Amino acid sequence: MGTNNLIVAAALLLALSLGCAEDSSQEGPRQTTTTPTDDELRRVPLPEVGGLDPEIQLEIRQSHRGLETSMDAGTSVHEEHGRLGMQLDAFGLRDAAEIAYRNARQLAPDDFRWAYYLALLYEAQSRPEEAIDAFLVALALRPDYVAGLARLGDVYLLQGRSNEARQRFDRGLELDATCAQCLVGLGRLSLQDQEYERAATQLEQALTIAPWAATIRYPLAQAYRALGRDGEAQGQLDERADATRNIGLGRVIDRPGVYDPLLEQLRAVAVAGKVAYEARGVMAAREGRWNEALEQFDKMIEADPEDPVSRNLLAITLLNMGNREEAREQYQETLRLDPAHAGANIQLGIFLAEDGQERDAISRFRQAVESDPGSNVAHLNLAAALLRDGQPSEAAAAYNALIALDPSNGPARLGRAFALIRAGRHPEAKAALEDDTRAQPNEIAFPHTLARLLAASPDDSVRNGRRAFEILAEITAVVQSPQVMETTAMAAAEVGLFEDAARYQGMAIEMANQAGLAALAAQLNVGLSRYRQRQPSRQPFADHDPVFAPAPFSPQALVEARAQ
Amino acid sequence: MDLSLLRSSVTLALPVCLIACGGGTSAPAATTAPETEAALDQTRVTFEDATEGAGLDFTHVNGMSGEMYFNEMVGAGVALFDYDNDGDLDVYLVQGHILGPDVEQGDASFEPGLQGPLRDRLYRNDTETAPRGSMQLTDVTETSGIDARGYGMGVAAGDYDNDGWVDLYVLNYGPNQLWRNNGDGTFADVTARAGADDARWSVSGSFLDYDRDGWLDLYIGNYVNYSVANNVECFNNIRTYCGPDGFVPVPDRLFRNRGDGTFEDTTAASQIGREYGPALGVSTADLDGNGWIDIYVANDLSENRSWMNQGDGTFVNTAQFNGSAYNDVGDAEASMGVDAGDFDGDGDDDLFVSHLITQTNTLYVNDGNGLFEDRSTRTGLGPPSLAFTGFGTAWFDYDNDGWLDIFVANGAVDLIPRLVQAGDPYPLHQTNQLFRNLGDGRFTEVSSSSGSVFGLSEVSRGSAFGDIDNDGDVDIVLTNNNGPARLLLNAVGNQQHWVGLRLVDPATNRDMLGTRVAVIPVGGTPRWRRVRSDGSYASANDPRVLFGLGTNSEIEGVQAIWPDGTLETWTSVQTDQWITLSRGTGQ
Repeated sequence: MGTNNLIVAAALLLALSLGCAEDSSQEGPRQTTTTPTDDELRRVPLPEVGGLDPEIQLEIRQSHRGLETSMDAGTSVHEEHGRLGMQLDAFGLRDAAEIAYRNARQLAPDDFRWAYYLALLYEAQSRPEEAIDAFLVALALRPDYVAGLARLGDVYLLQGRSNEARQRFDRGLELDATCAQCLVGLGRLSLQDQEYERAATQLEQALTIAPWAATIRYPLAQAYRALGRDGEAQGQLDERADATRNIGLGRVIDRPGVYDPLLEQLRAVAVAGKVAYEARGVMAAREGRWNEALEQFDKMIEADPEDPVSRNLLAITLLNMGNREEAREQYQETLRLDPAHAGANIQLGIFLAEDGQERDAISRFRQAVESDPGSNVAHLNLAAALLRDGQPSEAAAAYNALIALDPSNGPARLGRAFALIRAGRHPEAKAALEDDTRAQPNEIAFPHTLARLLAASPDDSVRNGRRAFEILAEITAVVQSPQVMETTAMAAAEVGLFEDAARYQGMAIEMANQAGLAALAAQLNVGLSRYRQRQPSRQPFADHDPVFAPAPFSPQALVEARAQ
Repeated sequence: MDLSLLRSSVTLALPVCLIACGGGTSAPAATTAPETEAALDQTRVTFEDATEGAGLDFTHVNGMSGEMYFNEMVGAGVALFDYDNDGDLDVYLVQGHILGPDVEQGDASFEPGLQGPLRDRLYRNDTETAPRGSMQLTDVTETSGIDARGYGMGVAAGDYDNDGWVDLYVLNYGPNQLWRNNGDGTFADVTARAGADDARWSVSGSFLDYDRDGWLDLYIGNYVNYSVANNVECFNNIRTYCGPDGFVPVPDRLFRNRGDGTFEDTTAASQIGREYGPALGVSTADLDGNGWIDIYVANDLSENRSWMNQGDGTFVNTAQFNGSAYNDVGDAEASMGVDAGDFDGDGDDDLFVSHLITQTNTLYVNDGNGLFEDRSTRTGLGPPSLAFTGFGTAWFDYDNDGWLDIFVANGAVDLIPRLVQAGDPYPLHQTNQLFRNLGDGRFTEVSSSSGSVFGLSEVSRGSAFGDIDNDGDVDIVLTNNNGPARLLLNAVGNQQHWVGLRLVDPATNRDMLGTRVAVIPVGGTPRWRRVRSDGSYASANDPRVLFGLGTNSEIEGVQAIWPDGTLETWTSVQTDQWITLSRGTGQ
């Protein structure tokens, strides 16, 4: 309780200095009415708080009792009303919070905070007209509060009041050119007006400012689609889908926001102590403010040094800041505190794999899968490590486990095919790739791998050069790469067209050289000699082909680690 | 080759508009809104609550015991269908019961006082024999042979065996049931024999002929992998019901009708099983105009799916690209109910999806090629929905002015703090909403002037739409979670002209679900609707199609595009009556 009270008090002191000091210099409509007496204010009812954490209950009851005492004595001040309002608001007790905020605003009509919190409360309650009125009052007091402008713009936009929304977004951008939320608002307005070029430009700018905000990609894709730029549209959708996958269990996709100190203070009331540091740190990390994230997570550890979650978050932050060794120490510390921690096991497994300690890495990944059977990242890393370690059948089983969990997981499906090929289980690989091609018809990797298997498998029951050619005809219309050309050469050789095979292989070598892939070019030269000797290929992939050594899959996103 | 080859972009081949394009983009020659205002008797309420008078005495029981089991607040649905082929719509209502170990119904913490065993109920429409001007629904559950005592969620209706009698598929939290209509007033549970079971948590379903072989197939929308035995506690400051995000979604299921009374599970072969979310609503329509019926699935807090029928037994989900996966901000919304309909008269079906409080209901407008734009705000449908959690919904022309309007059944899923504070025993209730299509791409909310039923605050869920009294306008049967079902009789629609059509195959006397049908107004462009029983939320609608004609008492004719793509035209169709159009009787 003591800690919480301290935090609340600190937040209020900060709010006082922020609100009162700055507000006094602002122009805006001043209430000319006289300050009401306590008799003229509404009593704030104490709502049912029994479902809340006992410490929170106590805080709210104390604040409420204090306010009641002040009102009985006729001495209440706006800070008391406002503080109780924030406490109630932070825990969803908004009906009572509204009364408290209103009282605070009546007592201190020039204080920006109370009008703003009222506006946020109305917005959260889907009371748009009242939210607009309150935002207008607040912004009259603080016309340069960009977060308020952006929020008001959003409310107007949702109400179909386009011009008023546009004014707020424009003004927000004038004040802060990095207001991604304003740009997104303007982009949405442009989409509504069917001004697709403009929408695309605005949304592209927003994405540049807030690349983590994956939601932007969807309206941007809609703009591209309307402009006939279907490939770019699909690219944005794929990126968004990847972001969805990366956050694992969660389905919340990050949205652009504007730094809003008042909202942060409200959140600080809601989440006190370690939880507050965590919330602020995660938010900072999501937005790439790594130094700030580091500071918050350090405080979190200070508050509870034995908390593995704090250690893991610190480790992720350090890793993202490029401090690999310190990150590794923190991951190890995480595992000391929680040996089953999935995220730490995964990342330490990746470190071990990068150091060539594949067997140890596999142990880590196995532990991660055991701790969090729903984690795609854990499964994917385990399977890849097994494949790299020369255990292809075990890798195939691990990939299968992930596919059962997530049938749309393309890397898992492809990994399974490579694992089966590596294990020499070519009929199974063929069947799997046929299934993969049906399941994900837009993924060219599947038919391409299938074509290669059909062209060069040593298993007579699998090989079918003609079918490989048919598949490749479709692929080459879309993609041309040294690898695809090499497969085409394999197919040509399989049907006895050795001159054509040599020609295709030559083209593959030329493409590899042009792309600076000298090692690949050298490998392709071996095939060229074979075709010149009129010998077909009987090895779809060389033993040392990179497809059998997939890189560890690193969960970059902080939120992924949170989900684990 | 490496993983970078994955996700190579392939331009999606978008099917061209094969049908309905004839409608062009001009608006139908329907009566304009101001004329409608003048034509309607302004002194009459729009919908009258005829529940009690009609004998509809069903009360849904969710069995809540304070444990806040997730499924308690999700059900239930209702079907309007003519089970006895006497020409009027009968009513099927889905029931719940108390949940959990070692409990009896009397242990429920809020029990609406229902007598008798808890089971689904079938009400026969006996209005023909009732005193003139009154509705009469008779509970015939006992004699029907239907013994549905699962924890009910929804219901779908369709004649799966082509015997001319409409069958029912009941979706449950637990094993589903296929009830075959024996044609003698009774039903038989043929679930196992037909191979149509799904023991997962199902909510909405649809009968559709996706392979155009003349037999109705079945789509089942499944929700999440939740178990009462593994109930978890969820909080939103106070203990409240859980949402879907804490649970793993389970795949939907597609059953192909073999035509011999059994179904084949084609979930995998059709590709439907590739992607899935927590499904709550299902609507089928030919969204891209390629002549093959598509499936739109409304998912709760997850992207919606547009399964576009490839015509070869497979489907491809194009929702992200076609713009119907998320709202215009790119957010996945908590989608509940859904319906497809041509609200703007341009010949294609647009999608309306109901959502959670603080989210707007969303209108996806179709460009004729199956590409959508979210126009919820511009049309005026979005903003008024922000304060409500919508479930059952449908496009229907309540005032018969020729333009499709919208009804939304509302009821929260998170406890409403204000009601909790007030000691409300079931603090989820909200009022329902009616939106009138102004005919110019905009809607206006008319709830407050549409009758006292719109002042009732209840926890509404399913709703089925159809002309239950055969008087030429669309009525509504509404379900309330842990509350009474309601019959809302339309009191104004038939003040304007109309024509009602039932489209059947004479060989089977089966409603030809999936048929697109248009009325051609005198001097106007065709106005397209579709024969369907699906849509809304967990419910089944009147498969007949009712066209409002405004002040026009004549039409030039009717066109139908049957599910197999053949076009047929009828002229000299009389208005202000229900007509059955049998395939092969036109030109």
